[in-house]
This record gives sequence, C-alpha cells and structure tokens, in this order.
Amino acid sequence: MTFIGAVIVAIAFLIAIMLAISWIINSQKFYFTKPDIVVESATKDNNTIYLTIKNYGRESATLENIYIYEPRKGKYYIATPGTHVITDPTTGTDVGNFYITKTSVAPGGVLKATLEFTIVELDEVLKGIATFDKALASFEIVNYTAIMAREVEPGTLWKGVYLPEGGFKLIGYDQLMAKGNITAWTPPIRVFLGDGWRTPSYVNHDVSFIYDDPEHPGLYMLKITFSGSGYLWYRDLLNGGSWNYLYVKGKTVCIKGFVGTYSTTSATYLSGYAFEIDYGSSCSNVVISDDEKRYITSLSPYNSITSTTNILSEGIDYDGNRVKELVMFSYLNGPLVTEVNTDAESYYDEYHDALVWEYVVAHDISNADYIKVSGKINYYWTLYYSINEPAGFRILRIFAIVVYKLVNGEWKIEHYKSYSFTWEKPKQYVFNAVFPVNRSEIYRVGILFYDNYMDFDADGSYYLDFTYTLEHLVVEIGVSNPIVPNPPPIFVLAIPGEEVDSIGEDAIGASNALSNFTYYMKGEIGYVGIPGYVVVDSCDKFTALIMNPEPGREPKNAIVFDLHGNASNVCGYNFKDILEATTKYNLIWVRTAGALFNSTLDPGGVIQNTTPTWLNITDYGKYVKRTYGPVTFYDSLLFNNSLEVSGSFTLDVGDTTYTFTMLNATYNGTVDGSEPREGSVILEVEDPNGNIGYIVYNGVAITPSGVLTKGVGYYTATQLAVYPAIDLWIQKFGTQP
Amino acid sequence: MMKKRYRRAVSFIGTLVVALGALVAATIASIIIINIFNVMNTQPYVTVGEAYYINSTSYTHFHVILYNAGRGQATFQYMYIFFPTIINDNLVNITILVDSNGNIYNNDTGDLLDGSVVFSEIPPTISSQSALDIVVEINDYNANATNNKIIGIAVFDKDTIVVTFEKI
Repeated sequence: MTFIGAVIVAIAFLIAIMLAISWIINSQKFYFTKPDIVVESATKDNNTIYLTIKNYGRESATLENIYIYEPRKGKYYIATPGTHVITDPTTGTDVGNFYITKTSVAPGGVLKATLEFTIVELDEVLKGIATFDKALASFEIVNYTAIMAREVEPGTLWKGVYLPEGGFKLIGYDQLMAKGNITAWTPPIRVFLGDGWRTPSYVNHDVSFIYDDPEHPGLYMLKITFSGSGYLWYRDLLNGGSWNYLYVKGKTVCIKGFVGTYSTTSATYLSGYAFEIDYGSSCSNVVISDDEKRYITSLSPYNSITSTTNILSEGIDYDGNRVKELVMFSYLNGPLVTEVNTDAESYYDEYHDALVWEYVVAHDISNADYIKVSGKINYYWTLYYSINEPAGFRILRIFAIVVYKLVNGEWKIEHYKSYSFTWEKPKQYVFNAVFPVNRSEIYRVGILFYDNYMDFDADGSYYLDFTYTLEHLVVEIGVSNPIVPNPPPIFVLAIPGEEVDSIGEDAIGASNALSNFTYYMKGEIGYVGIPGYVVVDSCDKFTALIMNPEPGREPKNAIVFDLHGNASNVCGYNFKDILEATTKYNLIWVRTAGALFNSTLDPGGVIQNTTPTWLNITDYGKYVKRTYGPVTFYDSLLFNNSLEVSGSFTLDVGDTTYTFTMLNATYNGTVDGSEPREGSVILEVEDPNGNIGYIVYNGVAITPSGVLTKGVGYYTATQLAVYPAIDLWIQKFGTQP
Repeated sequence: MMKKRYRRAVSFIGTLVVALGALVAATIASIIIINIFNVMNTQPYVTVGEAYYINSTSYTHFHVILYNAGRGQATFQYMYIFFPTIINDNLVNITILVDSNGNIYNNDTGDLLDGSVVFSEIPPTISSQSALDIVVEINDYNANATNNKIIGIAVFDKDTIVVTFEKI
C-alpha cells in the first residue's frame, strides 16, 4: 500500500512537471504580430482617387507606397508619402499630387489618402496595392463619376451614389398567374335610382357630386341633394337582404364605396354597387352598411366560357406579339376572339355589369424608399344597344395602379394612380408610376380594373362592358440613399480671404488650407451620398443665407459646416452671432476645428458661469475605441455609448445667457490619452426665449483623465465632423427610415 | 507487528524520496536543455503575409510581403514563380527565377528577362521580427492562370517558403 501511495504521489508530481514543461515550450514558439490593413473604400471622382484605409490589426503600420494600376493601358503609377507626388515609373515624370494626413496608422485607426492625377487621364478600370512596412492591401477603384453621371429619366426619383435597386418582372399570363393573385368582386350592396315600381330612372337634383371615397380608396363616393321625387333602391346581396328603398326627395344622400354608372345632366342617374348608404348633410345617418367584398371570381377556359365567366383561365395573345395576356372581361371582345357577353357580376341574368378585378402581386416589399410599377394593358369596350355616345355620361376611371400597405394586419390602399375611360378604341396603355414608400412598412403592388358602367337607361339594355388584357408588369424597388434617406440641407462655410485658424497644420500646407479643407469636406459629403449642399463662399451669401436672411427666406434645421476653424471673426460675425443664428433658426453648427469657446470675444466677452461636465470614457467606449475606428461612428449605439456625458452649464455671451447641455461625445484616440486625441462633442444650446440649436465641436482634445479642454485642427477631423452632424440631424429633424 | 509497520514506513518514504529526487533532477535538466536550445537557436522562420499579382497589357506585377518570425536573420537567395503564359499562341507553363541581385530569368531557357525587382531591404535580408517586401515586374510574359492563383517558392539561406499570389 505504501509503495502504491508513493507511486501515485510521484505520478501526480510528474504530470504537474510535464504541464509546466509544456507551458514553457509553448511560450518559446515562434510568433509574429502584424497589422491587418484593409482598404475600406476606393473611389474615383473625375481624375482623383480617394482611399480610406483601416488597420484592423494589433500593430501600427507605416505606409510606404501606393501602386495604382491601369491594366487595360498597361500603365501604373506609384504614390510616395515622402514626396507627396505620384510618379510614372516608366517615364520618371510626376503625374499628380498625393495628399495624405499621416503615414502611420495605429490599430483601429483610419488613414485617408487622396491621389490627384493632374497630367494623365485615368482609365475607367483601375486597381491598386497599398504597401506598408509590414502589410499589403489590394483594392479595386469604383468610378464615382460614372455612377453620379447616370442618366435619369424625367419624372423618376433622383438616384444617389448609393443605389441598391432591384425588383422583378412578370411577363405573360403564366408568370402573372404564378406570382400573383386575381380576384373579381363587387361591393355587397346593389343600388340604383328608380321610381316607386323599382324601375330605374333619372331623379332631379339640386347638387350632385362625385368624389374619391376616402373611406374606400379606389372607389367613389356620391353625394347628391335631390329635389325631385324618387327612390334609392338597395339590397345587400351577401346577407340575403330583400329590396328596400329610401325616398330621396329633399334629402342629401351619400353612397360610399361605389362602383357603377353615375350620370348627371339636370337629373342624376346611378346604378351599381356600394358598401354604405347614408343620408344627411354630413352623411351621418346610416341607412345600410356592409364592409365585406362580394367575391365573384369565375375562371373558365376560352372554349367553355360559362354564363358568369369573368376571367380566362388561359392566356391569349391579343396583340400578336407572342406574349399571352391575362384576360378579364364582362363582354369578351378583341381582334381574335368570338364576342361573348357574360353576367360577369353574377347577378341574375343581367348582362349590364359593374365589378372590379383586382390583381395583386404576391411579393411583399419592405426597406424601400420607392416602388416603381410599369406595365402594359389593352382594353376593349363594347357599347351595347346604342351606337350613340350617351349624353351626360361621366368619364370614370377604368384601371388604377395600386400600392397596398399592411396596417394592423389589414392591407390598405396607400397609393393609387388611376387611368380614365376614353372613347378611343382600341386603347393600349403602357404605364409607368412611381410611389414613395416608408422603409419600415410592408407593401404589395397590384392593379384594380373597373367595369364602372351598368345600364344607362330605364330598361337596362343600354350599357358599356369591358375586356382587359394585362400583358406584363415590372416592379422596381429602390433605395435612394441607405445611410441618409432624407438628405439634410447643408451649408459648407468656406469664404476665401476671411480669417482661418487651426485647420491647416498638416502636410498639405496652410497657404491653401481652406480650399483643401473644402475639397475634403465636399468629398466626405459626397461619400455619404448627400446631394444639394451649398458652399457659402462669399460674405454676401453668408449674410443672405444664414446670418441675416430676408423674412420668409430663413434657413431651418440646416447643418452648417464651418471650415474657418478657430477664427474669431468671419465677415464681421463672431461667436455671439453664431449662437444667435444657431438658436434662432434651429441649426446644427459644426465647428470643424477650434476651441470650444473663444474667451477673447470682443465686445462682450464670454463668461462661463459653471464648469462643463467632465467626460468619462466608458468601458464600452474603450472597447469600441480598441475594436473599431471612427468609420463606425455612424452606428448610433456605439456613438451614444462611447463617452459618459451628462449635465449642463450656462454661458453669458454678451448680454445673453445661453444654456448648454451635453448630448453626445465621441473620441478617436488611444485610451491612455496619447496622441491622436481628436473627438467630437455635441451640445444642445438654448437661448432665453427657448429656441434650441445644436453645436458640434469637432477636433476637441480630451485629456488622459477624460477632461474636455480645447480644440485642435486636423484634416482627419473632416470625417468626425460629417458623421456626428448628420447622425444628429437624423435624430432631431430627419424622418427616420 | 511493530517491525512490520516500521518497514512499511521506511519503504514508503524511501521510494517517495527517490522518485521525487529523480523527477526534480529530470525537470531541472529539461529546463536547462530547453533554455540552452533557445539561446542557441538562431533559426529564422519565414512566413508569408499578403501576396498579389496583376496582369496588364504590358506587364505582370507580383507583390509579396514576407515575415521572419524566427530568431535568426534570413537572407533571400532566389524565388521561383511558376505560371502559364501564351507563347506563339500556345499555352505553356514557364518558370521564372528572381535572384537576389534583382535579375529575372526564364529558368527553362536561361534567358535574362525584361523587368525589374524592388526589395524593401538591400541586400534582401529579413532580421528577426521584420518584414521584406518584394515587387517583381515582368514585361515579357503575361500570367494566364485560370484559377487566379500563381505559386512561387522563395528560397532563403536557412528557410524556404511557398508563396501563393492572388490575382487582383
């Protein structure tokens, strides 16, 4: 036993020692830590290439060269950070300028480079390799200019740089039936005007109106004040109701959700179907109401059409273009068919029909900004009994392109574009309609076909019936800009000759710093796909557009990117004027560089009443900083949790006291506070009258302990200026997607 | 009875002492040996970072960055690059030899080729925990790899590494 015990103890020791040796050996293995460089974006605008390069690794990297290749031309160029020029190595000549903010990129950091080719005209196909001291990164260059210059058809929506678009097309009967649903229906209540013997007749009126019914989109509402004797006969066909009537003389009668004949001369004639009948000047006395559709879909093949067929269960190529169409009819007509009159509405044997065909594409759509529906419809009408056009006959709609929205579990019509009857025949429509939609909602598209005309006269033998053929449908789904669906109004304040401070201390040189900064800012705004921004480049414009506009021409909820940095005076306006304009016009004023508050303001001075809130970098913010970089600032979740900010303070500016509340802050630098320490702070500013504006301080420095101190200017601050300002605008003024 | 217990105790302690003594001695010896190896080990260990190639109508470029994760310096000797190309309308496989002086040869014929080689370090060596960037430009042949990958072999004085160039 003792021997065994000793052996066990020895084995235990042996295992422990083996583990220790294993650990030691493992710790001595070869290793190499390296940066992980990714070119996040590479775009070309005219003859200039913009690169955004990010280091996802755990070690800094230093840029050595950027190779730009033109494979089709057999040329290539080398951009070198040290000389700031781009050279053609085959000729040894300089062909452009290389702008770069820095040469080394820290872990999680971003490097932005601009290659401006001044001598050569770049090819459309471009590739590149960025060589760093310990990494390579390849990239393809997207031709920004080509995308921007796309032709846009008149009447269509503007299409931005970012343009995810797609859709589907349904061509011919088979595809239309496979991917969609067709029904035929009428409102449930049969209704017509007549005499006391239930014979249809005209009845004199004082006022007779027809409206689009807001309660039943796609159908009509009739509102008639009768002066003559007459009876409105009605019967609910769904609930087995018998005929009933409303004596209309002296009454205002409302017929809602109506489809059918409506004719007025000095008297009114109507015959059709409705969802509701009311009377009273405000249509408040309900006579009868039934919201349920009366479905009468009846499909039959062409060779065996029944007395009630209203849709062919096979396609017919009506126009001989080798595409078979979906055919709906109440009186089958057309060049290649034998005419057939059917009781399409399926009501006794009356061949004067009023009904609706509803074709809906079985494809739910969401996360879109617009839906464009195109298609081709032929229709043929048959005027039965009389060859004369009836007098007083109302031109009503014959079909409508429809967008449905899912609302509380029910499909409601959100948009429709209708097309009206004409006496021209045959008639072909190739339609094209664009509808704005909300990204967060769910939609379907469809077409409503109407047979609106029942009997025109008392004996019921005088009417119009229809044949419709739907040949194809193209549904285009588009997103105008996935990042900024609703572009903000933007001013870029860059006035040559006016004071500029703290914006140009980088490699580009301060002499033309403002124009370079403007160039960068325009590129950044373009990068996020915002059109229509205004560069304010003169004092006249500055005054007229922002600081002292005419009444009725004031800016509202605009973003102002102030590129003058720490300047205390631009066109005679100072910080006090900026605060006034910001609050008065609810602006977002972005100080792209410069101190938080210029205490040397003269006259008036700035008196800080209370100490600004201290900023603390949250643990989450540290994680974000380590893991991501400023390119991800757009994510509100990250943005909002980078720094802890709270509280407010007041400033006396001249004779006005403003209240500042810290909303957000973000930070681009090492957690221990070493350089770089760029960041952005967003303040809400309220004047004594309760007007609220926002100031985004960009390029502020944050000390190792997290204290907000003062501003510094960097070209790299461009990105930090744009994203928080647009993010704030979307939160405060924009329509959320 | 007492004698028997005494003997058991002696045998237990004796065995334990002997076993532990042997193990401790073995451990100390192994640690010493490992440390000796570590101190003596000057073997470089060359690995590949990124490697790309690009074709054009007048040149083929090869970019590769190599790291030395070992402890000794590695000196570049030469690199073979194997790729198919079209010569006289025929697709043939050729072998390119790039030497440390920046010369490029057709390894099959021995012909000196038109092109250039750029090393980030001259002479092309990689010290421990450093990197070597090589850019090869060949003007005579156009790489025609159907799978968009080209294999090379970089030979150093104390290591050899296979490089896979990806097409961009």
